[in-house]
Amino acid sequence: MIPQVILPFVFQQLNDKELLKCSLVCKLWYTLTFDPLLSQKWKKVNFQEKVKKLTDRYTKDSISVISRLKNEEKMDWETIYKIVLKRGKNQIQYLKIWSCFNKQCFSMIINSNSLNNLITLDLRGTNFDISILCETYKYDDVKKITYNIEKNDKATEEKETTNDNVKRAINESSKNKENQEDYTLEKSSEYTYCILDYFSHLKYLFFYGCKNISVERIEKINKQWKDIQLDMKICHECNKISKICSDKKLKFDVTDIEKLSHCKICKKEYCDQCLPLWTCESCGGDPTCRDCRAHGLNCTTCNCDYCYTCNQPKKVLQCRYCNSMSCGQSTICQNLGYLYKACDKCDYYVCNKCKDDNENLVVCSGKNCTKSYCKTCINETHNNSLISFDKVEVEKRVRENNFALCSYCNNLYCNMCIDNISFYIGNKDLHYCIVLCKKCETYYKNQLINIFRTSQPNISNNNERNRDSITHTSSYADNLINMSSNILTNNTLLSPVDIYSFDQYIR
Amino acid sequence: MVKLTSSDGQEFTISKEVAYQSVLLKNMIEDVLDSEENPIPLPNVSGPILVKVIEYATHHKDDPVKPPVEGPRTSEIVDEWDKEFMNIDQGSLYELILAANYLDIKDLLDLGCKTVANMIKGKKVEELRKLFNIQNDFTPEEEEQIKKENAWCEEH
Repeated sequence: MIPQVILPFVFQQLNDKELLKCSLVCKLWYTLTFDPLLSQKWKKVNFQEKVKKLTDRYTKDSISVISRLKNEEKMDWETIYKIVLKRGKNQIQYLKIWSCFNKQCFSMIINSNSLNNLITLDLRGTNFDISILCETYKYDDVKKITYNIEKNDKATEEKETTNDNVKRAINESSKNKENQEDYTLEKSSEYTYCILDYFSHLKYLFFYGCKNISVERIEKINKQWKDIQLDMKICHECNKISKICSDKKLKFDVTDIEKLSHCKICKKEYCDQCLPLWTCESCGGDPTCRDCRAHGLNCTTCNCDYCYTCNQPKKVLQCRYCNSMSCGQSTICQNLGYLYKACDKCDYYVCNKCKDDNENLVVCSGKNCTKSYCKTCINETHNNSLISFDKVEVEKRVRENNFALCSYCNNLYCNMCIDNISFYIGNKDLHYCIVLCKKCETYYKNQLINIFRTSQPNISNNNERNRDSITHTSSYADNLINMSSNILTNNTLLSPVDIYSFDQYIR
Repeated sequence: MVKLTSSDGQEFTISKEVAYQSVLLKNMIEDVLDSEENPIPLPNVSGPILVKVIEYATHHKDDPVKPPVEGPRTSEIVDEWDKEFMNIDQGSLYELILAANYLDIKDLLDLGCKTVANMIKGKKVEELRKLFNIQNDFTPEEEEQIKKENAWCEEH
């Protein structure tokens, strides 16, 4: 008699048809046709193709088929499935289950027929209870369950007048294997197992439309089997579940959510109902959630969003005072009114309302001129050197500032209205320059000259006499005298822009 | 040179080149340096079978290393010498395959298995039982069930 050891090597030399013939010789030969050494041989029998054909026929419009199929047909399919799974357990990578698939049917997939290389398990459209996937069993319990399932299967087969002796014979080898497993797993019987643990290579699990799907269960599967990708997603905001693909519509719709999108940055899923993701209106870049939108602006007028990059040329403008925004791109923005460049010196804008109401803007006093400057700019650009002994230098600084302030009446004049400004130059003895508007110049000039005429000798000779001589002048004259005295003694003038210092705006 | 001792105590001296056809012997020679003096015991191989093995190894010692077979295997034996070499009784054939398996001579194992496979080919189930002296331990129902399975596998 041919030794058992060499039989698998001999079977390796045979083709699949001869191998099937050998399986009829005796029980030992039948068992040996399942030898792992022959797994390559069975690869040539395209089991994946067979499973596909089965599933194509069986799961085609699976929901309606279930009602039409007779019980006999169902059983027949199950038998065929069992045969395919038994022969091709090492080759099958994708498995789609028929509509009436339930807990009992799992005995075909797990147990001795465990599909070691299964990558995708497709339970969509079945009545399968998802809670079974999440339940944990002790190893003994799993054995009990599978044993009971096998027992039930045998009973049904008996009813169908088939002898279970074949099955017993078929399972002999698998039982031997189980016994070996028992021995090895005896010590680990206290560990718990889930059904999904049987598929070590499983990467995709599709169960949209199955029974008892809940957020908790999906989260549990996600956590426990991180490598397995699901066809379900959970909205992080409202915790509703949705399917990934809306094309594959099934009978059991979980929710009415049509779409779940995920933030490109934090990868969280959001449904459109609770938190639409943000995309730049201009460049239409990757959608991001509101939390991740660190750089970007939202037009408060028309609600359009712009990313930071697209906002570089400052499409979205912000009123510096009321913080309202406007992009000026949409018709809403254009109708409601765009933001205006309030200050001619800086880049800040103000809305129509703030422009009219706000006291922090100083409008040019020139005739028909609408240019305005913010008090912050006036404060920042002003320096005391506007009063200098050098006229050229003062003129240069005024041009740099784009505006000039009358040192006497504090009126502001822009660059265009510079004709309204004159630079008063002192006399030969006291050479200095001061910025004055034309209105103030004449009066100031006359007054100042008169004061200088009367006080000049006293200033140089005797200060006490000087004070006595100016006591009779008016309060306005006092002001002039003080200014003049300051110019002459300290070379400084009381800053005319000090009154603008209440603009609390911080850049 | 390498000395080998069969299970029945017969001693054979072969060149290292011939011995290296066997992966088992090659490893043993490399591990035990003074194999010329101490013969390597082969308790699983009888003298007559060892003679056949040495004959095969000597004949094929100069053969180039065969690349791994890609695609479907064929059980056809091309070499006429191999055909003649395998023209032995069933018992010796099984022993030779077992020896090839033990000594890890892949080509000889393949040759032996091909010979057995050729014996299986083209024969009916009943003929196979007769040829290999196997008793049918299936019940008619079991046989019918397996036929159903096989029929499905062939058809689809």
